[in-house]
Amino acid sequence: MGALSLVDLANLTAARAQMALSLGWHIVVACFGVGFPVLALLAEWRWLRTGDEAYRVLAHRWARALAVLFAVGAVSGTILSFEFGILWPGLIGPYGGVMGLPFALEGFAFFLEAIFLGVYLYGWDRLPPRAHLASGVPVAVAGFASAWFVVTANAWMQDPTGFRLAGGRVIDVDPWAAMLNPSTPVLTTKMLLAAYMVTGYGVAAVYAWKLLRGSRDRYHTLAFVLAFTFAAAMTPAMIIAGDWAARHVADTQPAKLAAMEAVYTTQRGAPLVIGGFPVSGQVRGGVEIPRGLSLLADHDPGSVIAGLDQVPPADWPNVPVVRTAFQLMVAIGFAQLALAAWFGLAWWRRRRLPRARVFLWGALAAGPGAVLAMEAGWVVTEVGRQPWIVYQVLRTADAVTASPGIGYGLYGLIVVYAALTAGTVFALQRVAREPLPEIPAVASPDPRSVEVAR
Amino acid sequence: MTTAEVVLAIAWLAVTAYALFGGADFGAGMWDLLAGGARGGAAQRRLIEHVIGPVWEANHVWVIFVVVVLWTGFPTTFASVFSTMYLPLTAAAVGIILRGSGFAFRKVVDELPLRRLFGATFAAHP
Repeated sequence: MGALSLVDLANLTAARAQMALSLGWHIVVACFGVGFPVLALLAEWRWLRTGDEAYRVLAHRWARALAVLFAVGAVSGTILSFEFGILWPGLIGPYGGVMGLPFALEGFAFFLEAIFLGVYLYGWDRLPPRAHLASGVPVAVAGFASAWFVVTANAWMQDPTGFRLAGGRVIDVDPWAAMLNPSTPVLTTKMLLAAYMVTGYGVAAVYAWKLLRGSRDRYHTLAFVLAFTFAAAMTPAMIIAGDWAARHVADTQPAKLAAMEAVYTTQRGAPLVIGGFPVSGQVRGGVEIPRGLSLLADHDPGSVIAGLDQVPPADWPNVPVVRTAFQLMVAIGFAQLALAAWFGLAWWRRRRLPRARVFLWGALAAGPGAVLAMEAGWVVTEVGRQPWIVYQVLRTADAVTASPGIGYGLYGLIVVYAALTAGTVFALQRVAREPLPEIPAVASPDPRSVEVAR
Repeated sequence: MTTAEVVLAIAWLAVTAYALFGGADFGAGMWDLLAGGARGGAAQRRLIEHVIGPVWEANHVWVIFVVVVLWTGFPTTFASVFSTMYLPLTAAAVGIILRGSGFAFRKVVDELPLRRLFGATFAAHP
């Protein structure tokens, strides 16, 4: 393609900013839409098992918060389906038929989710307890499925399969092969784990704050333990999935790996540099572990790591952004792992929360931390793919709309999303501040029930 | 029937379903707006909320379904139409945001001014 005109360049920047805003906003709410049903069902299931009224109150409240987040996620998701066509006709035109299948299947999953959510939210007093619990299961399953379907489409943009190009035309389209591309298993696994961690740590942070403020009753402790255990259980799996993802990127997108680790020159036995900031072709201020990167990426200390010198400068992703986001994600992930291990050890040895207040401060930070890590991981995946919208097939600049005035849409959406954020936070606060019903003491104390931390 | 005709038939059925079910909700939004004063219309507004609450989300999945069926089935047309008609479609998108979120937010508030604000955004749809 020839040089970009100024209108195209302005459109490219505005369209990318608009997608970053809409997706970055939606992804947080969508994570809760996927994870919250699981948490609410866990609480309800514990209620049916133990008869402890506190669990019923919890499930009920979490379902109220889920209703707000689901409604908001549904609208921000609808906007995205519009934006694909409005902003990226060069992607949807030629490749809509290749990557459209998972979106259509996601539509079915979303129907299932919406229908059963209606039953679950409005069925508390109309269904027998077990039937009510069962009505929530399709919500959790469909949430899992819709996240999986949508991420397969993103995986396809990283690893495009299921078509051939002949003289610039897309032929031999196989949407199933596109959906089941080699990057699908690793990316869907990471996204679903991230969704559960964002929900678990996010919800636990709210109760960590209540515990720190002195509300150390059984209800708040149970809520914290349930949400935190859920997130903590996902954390080691995420570290393992992260290792899998990094090795997969090393194989399929060497330019992205080189940007993540700021490897400018190809080398054998490449070191791992932790921290620091990439400035004009080298990392300043990092700690170097000899041969560490070769060991991590290929499980071989002598392996060759392709550097950015193998990639034409025009095809480099933005190295400082990708590298910084990657370091942030890894740092938060390991901090969460340490916190989860601390919690696990205290629970295993004494069946109680760690005594130290700093643990609760850590748990409070883990909530926003999980959101930040998830957004950083998404930046690594997406910014690291640039300048390609479909990796090594279609450039982002060639897919953007040529219609004038895209920038105004961006300004408008900034205002709309700011209002939406304020409304969502406000509505969630309202749900949180509803007075708690009287919770009777447990009739026959479960020996495994929580000992309240003091 | 060719594949294109089958896809078109599915899209047509989905649009009809959206017009029916989503349309009922749009009507509810208008009714809500015109239900009368804050005190007099309160009972009607509660009823509207109660009636459409359980089916609201499912009714609005139809529009997403239509969009993804069109883009999968007729990608070239979809891309030209959406990139050309971006002004009305952006306006529709903003309307969808205001409606869906206004409806969800209003359910959790009790104060009159806030219910008015969210009620107005719920009724607002270009």
